[in-house]
Amino acid sequence: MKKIKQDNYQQWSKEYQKMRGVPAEQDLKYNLSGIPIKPIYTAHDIKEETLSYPGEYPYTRGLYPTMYRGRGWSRRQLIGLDTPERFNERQREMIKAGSNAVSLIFCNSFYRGYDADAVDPLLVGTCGTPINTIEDMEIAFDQIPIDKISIALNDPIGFTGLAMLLVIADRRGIPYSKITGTSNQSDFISHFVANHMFYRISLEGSLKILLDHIKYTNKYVPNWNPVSIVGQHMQQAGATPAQALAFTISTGITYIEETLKQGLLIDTFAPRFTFFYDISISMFEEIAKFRAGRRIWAKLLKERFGAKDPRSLRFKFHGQTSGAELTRQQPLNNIVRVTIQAMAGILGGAQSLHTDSYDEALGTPIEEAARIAINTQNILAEESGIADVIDPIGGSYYLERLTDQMEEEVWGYIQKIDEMGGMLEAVRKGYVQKVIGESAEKYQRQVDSNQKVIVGVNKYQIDESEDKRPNLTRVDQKLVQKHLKRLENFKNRRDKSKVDEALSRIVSATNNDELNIFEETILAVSVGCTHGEIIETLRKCYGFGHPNIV
Amino acid sequence: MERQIKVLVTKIGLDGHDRGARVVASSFRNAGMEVIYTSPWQKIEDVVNITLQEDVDIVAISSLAYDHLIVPKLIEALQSEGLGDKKVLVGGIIPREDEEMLLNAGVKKIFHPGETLDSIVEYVENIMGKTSMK
Amino acid sequence: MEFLGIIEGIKSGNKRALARAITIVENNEENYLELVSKIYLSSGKAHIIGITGSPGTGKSTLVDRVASKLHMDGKSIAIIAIDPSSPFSNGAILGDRIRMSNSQKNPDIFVRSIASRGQVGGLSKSVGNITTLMDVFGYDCILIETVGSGQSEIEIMNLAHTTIVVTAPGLGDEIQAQKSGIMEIANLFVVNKADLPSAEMTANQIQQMLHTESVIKRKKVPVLLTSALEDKGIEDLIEKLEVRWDEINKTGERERIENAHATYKLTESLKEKFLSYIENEILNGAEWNDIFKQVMDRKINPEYAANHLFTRFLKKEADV
Repeated sequence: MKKIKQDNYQQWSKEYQKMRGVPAEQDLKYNLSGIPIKPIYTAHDIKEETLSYPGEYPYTRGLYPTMYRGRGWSRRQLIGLDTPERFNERQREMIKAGSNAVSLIFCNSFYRGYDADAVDPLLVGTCGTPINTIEDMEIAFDQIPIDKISIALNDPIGFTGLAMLLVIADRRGIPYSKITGTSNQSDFISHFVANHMFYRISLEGSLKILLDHIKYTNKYVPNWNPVSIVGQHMQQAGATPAQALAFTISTGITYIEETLKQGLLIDTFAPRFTFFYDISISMFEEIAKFRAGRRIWAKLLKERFGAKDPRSLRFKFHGQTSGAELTRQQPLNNIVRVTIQAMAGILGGAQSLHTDSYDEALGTPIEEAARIAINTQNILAEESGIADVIDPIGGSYYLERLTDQMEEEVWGYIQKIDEMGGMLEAVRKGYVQKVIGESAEKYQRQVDSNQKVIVGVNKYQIDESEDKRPNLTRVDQKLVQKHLKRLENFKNRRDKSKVDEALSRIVSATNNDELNIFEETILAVSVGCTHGEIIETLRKCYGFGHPNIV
Repeated sequence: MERQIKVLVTKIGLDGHDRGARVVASSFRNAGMEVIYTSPWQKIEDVVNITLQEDVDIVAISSLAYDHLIVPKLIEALQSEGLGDKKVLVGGIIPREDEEMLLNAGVKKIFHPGETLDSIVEYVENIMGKTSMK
Repeated sequence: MEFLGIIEGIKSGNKRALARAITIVENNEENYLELVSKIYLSSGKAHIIGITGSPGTGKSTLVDRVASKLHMDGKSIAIIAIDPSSPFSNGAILGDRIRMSNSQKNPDIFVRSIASRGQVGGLSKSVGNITTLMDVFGYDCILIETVGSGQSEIEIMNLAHTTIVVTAPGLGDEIQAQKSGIMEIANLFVVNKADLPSAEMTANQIQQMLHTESVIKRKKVPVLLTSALEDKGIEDLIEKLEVRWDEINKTGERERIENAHATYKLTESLKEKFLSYIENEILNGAEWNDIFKQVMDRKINPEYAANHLFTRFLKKEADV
């Protein structure tokens, strides 16, 4: 460590106290994670030189030696459009415009495990694309070169989305090894504890389905990331950044332990683990979260699981700016919020980033808002110079201290969950849900009592009786009816006996460790089983997963 | 003895984001109300059934992703079971364009993001005439 | 709904009327006593089953599975699920329904959530009245799920024909149960979450304890293993419930139980009346302040003062 020539801390401290009336050491603020923040950080606050280089264990400063100098983060906007046709149209436009990544958000009916014909037509396509059959998927990916682009499927337990994609690959004569991408949010535990977007099969059943998915892709789809562990839901549901980091890492430990039990070797599957986080506006705290996350994950993989391959140690994450922090009041202010959140993600070393549209607190984004969102990333990447230097605020006394504190805080939770018997047990007991619920309530109380300022909400409000927002985009019910008609025709056309046989094979796979559920799922979608039928079958075998709400 | 206000806090439709519902439910509890709290994705007939069996005063629906579009169907179903006297509140992300439709359908009040918990509680206490018996 | 309409409604199977009547009873609304008295004669048919045990034993799920299986066997079922009230705000989150996924989806099963409202004796009074309403409505079985903590658990035996005590492996419940006397009130013991590895061991420990002196005089209490989540062991439990119901009806045990219930309810109600009377007549009476001062000055001792007040009170009553 560089010696400080002359340390005037005492002098400064005296001045500070004189002006503020309290000693600096006691003039504390607290960040979202409850870590005390002092008015100043100095060389006294940091340990001996712990800073490694980027790409060097334990990766505090970044996963790769070159970071954004070598390759920028992926600007990955998750898009759901109301019908497969419209999704396809938009994606083809984006590929023409130079995009090399596709992401698909399905309709909420899909996430609840139903086909579009099983829910109220008013809700079909409101939040994503309804994909029920292989036919829908073929429409969605028509003329999209699935062997040349990276594909993120927001594809929860059941993994029918990837199954359909692989059937398309078969039909186009593309080898599975050419298929790259991620089963986004395949982390069923996160859905069990927060947001409950996708959760619908019991914990035990979900575990077997995930493990089969890992085993299958490990063997046949080697460039696919089957595991994406999600802190985003937890933080959106109220967890503090430290809690979200801790709970995801504990989840990662559980998935690793369970996969090891299946006989896979750590270095064959760990490199395919990815993470997905929320990025709040608490900028330094978020940067510290990601730096601490890299450190903890690397240490765990190396020391606890004996991983040798450096790729196994890398804590790769996708970040999404926090939607819960966006306000309905003076919505344009959200553009500023998103910018700060995005900066935190970039300074934290994200591998890919999604920026929210400013109008998310009002409904589904309009086109202009979506464009501003992606341009926020473009401006940061290409105008601001933020990506010119690797880990540009590394070495800041404050950030380094905060990273250490964040790490300490997170290890505390991890240890507690270890003692409870791991993440599955902690979730069964409702511990994680309780912690998240309490944090959410505490936050809301701080907002309500103006301890936490939200501009336009509890301070600097204006009269907003007149809504200047442009018209909403609405799902065209005619398109929904057309989609439903197509589903009906598809169901009438297919060979019912093959469908029944395929579903009964899935049933056999659920209670036979020799058979692979995912393999049977691929077969099932290829003979015309619908998403809803497959999930219903799994749900019958394993039971419905009721979130343990505390 | 003072009659306690009984509230059903629930989510209908397909979305599972329940942070708002949870926080509101616990504020009602902290204000001395008795709260029936359910998991998300309740079917309309389930909500009618709970409302009937539990004899709640208030049905509070949290919606973040267009599930509010089926609230009019819920109110219709409540009415046809003779539960039209229950007060239906909606909170969450409700586009301004849909407010009129909801209010016309019989929703008592819509709460948007940014509303304080205290003001929601106060509203409920007011419409229930808190200190008097029903 | 009008008062008479409610009574008629209950008798003719109108659920809305039943729900409203429960609210009246729960809140001690003005005419609640008249309501329960008017229909009392028609009660006394249902098998009332209490389910008690610590939080975390999976009681709600167990109640849910038992209810739906009984329903499949052709029985009509009502459930009273009691959750604790917050001692600070008196409010409550009534969340048991969430765990009753089968019953909640089945409109034939009537589930009512009740907050404990911090009362001990009072709760059993209003829950007792609610069972009367449900009984008259025509439910064959009424399942009462208790809060699951504290001494009030014992009270369930004053309401139920059959008390099921639920435990789960690894909670250390065995020892707790022995201390609190909850072992003695069990007619059936259930070790739930039998999928957990130490379930058998827990069951054995309970068997052992049941053979200790204090309970040895009683009939053998069955100890069952269930896994409500996996729907295992439920049929066995139901069979035991049915056997017990037949048996207590045949042997006159039911009469003995109901005799005890009536004694309890009657004496508790009397105590309550006397207490409030004493509060009005003595604690707020003319002499109180004077006597109290003498006690504080140590001129007379509290017990002597009580005797004095009581004698004076009796004399005054006789004079009236």
